[in-house]
Amino acid sequence: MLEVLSRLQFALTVAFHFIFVPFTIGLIIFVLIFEHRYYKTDDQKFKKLSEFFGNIFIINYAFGIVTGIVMTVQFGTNWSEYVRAMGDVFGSPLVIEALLAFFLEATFAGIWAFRRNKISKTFRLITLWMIFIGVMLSALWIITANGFMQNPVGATWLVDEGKVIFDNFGNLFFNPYAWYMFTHNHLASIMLTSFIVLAISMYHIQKKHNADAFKISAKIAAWVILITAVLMPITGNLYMNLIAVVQPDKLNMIQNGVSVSQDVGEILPIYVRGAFLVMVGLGTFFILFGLYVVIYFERIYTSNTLKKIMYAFIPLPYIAIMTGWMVAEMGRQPWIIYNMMKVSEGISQVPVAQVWFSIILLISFYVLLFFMDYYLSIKTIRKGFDGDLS
Amino acid sequence: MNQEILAHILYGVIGLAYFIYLVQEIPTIGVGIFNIFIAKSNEDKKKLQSISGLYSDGIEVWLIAAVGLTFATFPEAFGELFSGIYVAAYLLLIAIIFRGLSVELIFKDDHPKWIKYMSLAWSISGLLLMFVLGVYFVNIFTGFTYENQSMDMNIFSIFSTASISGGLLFIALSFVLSSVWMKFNGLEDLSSKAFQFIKKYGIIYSIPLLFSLVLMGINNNIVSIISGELFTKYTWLIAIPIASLLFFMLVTLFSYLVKPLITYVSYFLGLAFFFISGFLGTFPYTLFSNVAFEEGLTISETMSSPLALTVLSVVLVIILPIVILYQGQKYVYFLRKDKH
Repeated sequence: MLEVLSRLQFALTVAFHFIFVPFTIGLIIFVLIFEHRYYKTDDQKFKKLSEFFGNIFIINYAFGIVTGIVMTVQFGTNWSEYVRAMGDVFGSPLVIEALLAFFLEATFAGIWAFRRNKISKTFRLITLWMIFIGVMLSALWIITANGFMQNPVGATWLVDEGKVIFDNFGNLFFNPYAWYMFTHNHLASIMLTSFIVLAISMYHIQKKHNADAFKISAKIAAWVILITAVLMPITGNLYMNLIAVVQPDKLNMIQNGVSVSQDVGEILPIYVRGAFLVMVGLGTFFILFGLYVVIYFERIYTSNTLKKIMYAFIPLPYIAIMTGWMVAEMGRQPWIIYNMMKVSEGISQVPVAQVWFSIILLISFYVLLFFMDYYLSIKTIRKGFDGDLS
Repeated sequence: MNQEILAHILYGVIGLAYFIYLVQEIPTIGVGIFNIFIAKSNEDKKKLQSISGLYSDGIEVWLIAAVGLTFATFPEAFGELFSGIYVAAYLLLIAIIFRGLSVELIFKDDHPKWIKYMSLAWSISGLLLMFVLGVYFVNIFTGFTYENQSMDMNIFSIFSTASISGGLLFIALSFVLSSVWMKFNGLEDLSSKAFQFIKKYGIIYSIPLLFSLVLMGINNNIVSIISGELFTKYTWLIAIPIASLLFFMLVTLFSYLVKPLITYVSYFLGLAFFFISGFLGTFPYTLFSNVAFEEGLTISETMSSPLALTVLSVVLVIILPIVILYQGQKYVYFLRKDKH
């Protein structure tokens, strides 16, 4: 029961945290593009676009950062055996992420949220660049940590002591698995954001709110969907070639829905294959969708029915990215560190009642947070440029 | 550099990171707690939000950095500690979540009910955060019932007279220092109201009393920081916790006289000496056992490998000064700008 609850809690908290992460990763790029245009042209349209999407960014960033802290603490509370065995290697990327990335994005996000209209144009631009760099570095270092769990390089497993010892920083940082993951995940995040930006822009065009400004954001989003949709299978294919070498059992699950490991049972590999097929199917659809929105942009621009269809597509990139992570994480079962340590060996030996306490506490609060985020985001989106942009 | 030396330096850096976090967090949290007591209009609440929210995310990262550094430098101690204080850790997380969200989002919707509930959440989460942090740090310095390499803790183990006093002390400090913080940011009216409030309800007088209870409580056991390695070897070190008490008494005095700058300096030194006392007292333990000294986990027993410590040290040497520089510059720039 303890293992099931610990797994369940981690899965729930990471999935909830991940609702906000890809959206903010992609959205900061859009905000930066608009702010750059404002900086260069002094056109108020771009300033408003930057502040409107910047507002949505801040709401989701706030939810992302607070739910992210749960992940760090949870390693100690629920995965102490894992920390004891892997902390030597796993801890460094987490610290580097905090020092290089979190400080940068948090310090400057505060300025963007509370002082952006009291600082110069140059300072505004620098602020957004710092947030963007922080977001990029944060994703890079957390995926470096995850990459080690998938393909443990740069460390040696000491059998007698039951732990790893860090022996090569270069191998850890240049772990090809992490770089493929980072690229694939980043592209997916940008695409997901583009779907949302396109839908939001079309909504305002339909309502005839600043349609000229939102036409620009819609057009950029349409092109970004196409570009990222084409790049995704290319990076995905390269990623698969590496998986074939370093995680052959995962490939087995993906291709045949079976595993050679006795620990995973018969159902899990079928889920992995199913998740993979959903992801690839959606990926193929996204290329066609990208082509359609770029080629028939003007038709969508004038048709309210087509605009409404755009809103309905928002869940699809979320499903694709979640199924992608299901393949990555469920496909490495039963290992918490591939071929080194099993998930069951990593949990904290704490009373089951305590884990029940934290699961119930987190679920109750997360349900509340979800509705808060949904309510605020929708309200801010609907308000458009009439909202509080100061 | 030698692995042990690096581990000892990093032990100090972890203490420093916790201190930098708290010394900034206590005043900004107090601003949030105060919002339901002194800010009656939305305009006043917005002013308070502005001087707290501008810095709050950047401050919170110091806590993440301190926790992450403990994870990376002393993984075994980290695992034992957080699984031992399981319930407190989750209460802390809930407080952090609601405090972070309320300060950022209070005015993202202009519906009166939204503002009302977010104001309340901002205040209550601040109170909870201060209380849990006080309880947490007093426990770190008092030690845990840790023997035979296992924690003997239940949900209520972390609550003692000393730790509850520590929680209340942090709350009292946040009230007092936020009054100072408002003054520094040019919010004269709100600051005056805040000073009147803390005098009227006797909050300023509770600080030396609560801190005395903390000091007495953490030295109540046979195994305590005062009987620890360094305090036994260098008896003059006892001057440090005494200095801490004196500075906290000065916080009371100068806040009574409404002298913001010198109140802040006294608070800074009081908190610094408290932390120095705690970290020197628990040295060389990364997990201090109040059952018997030898039961605790030491720096040498729990430190990471030479490469991990080297990577962390190099990153800290390069990045930490830059972080301190740009965060410090942010304070200088906006405090000057906001005051005018």
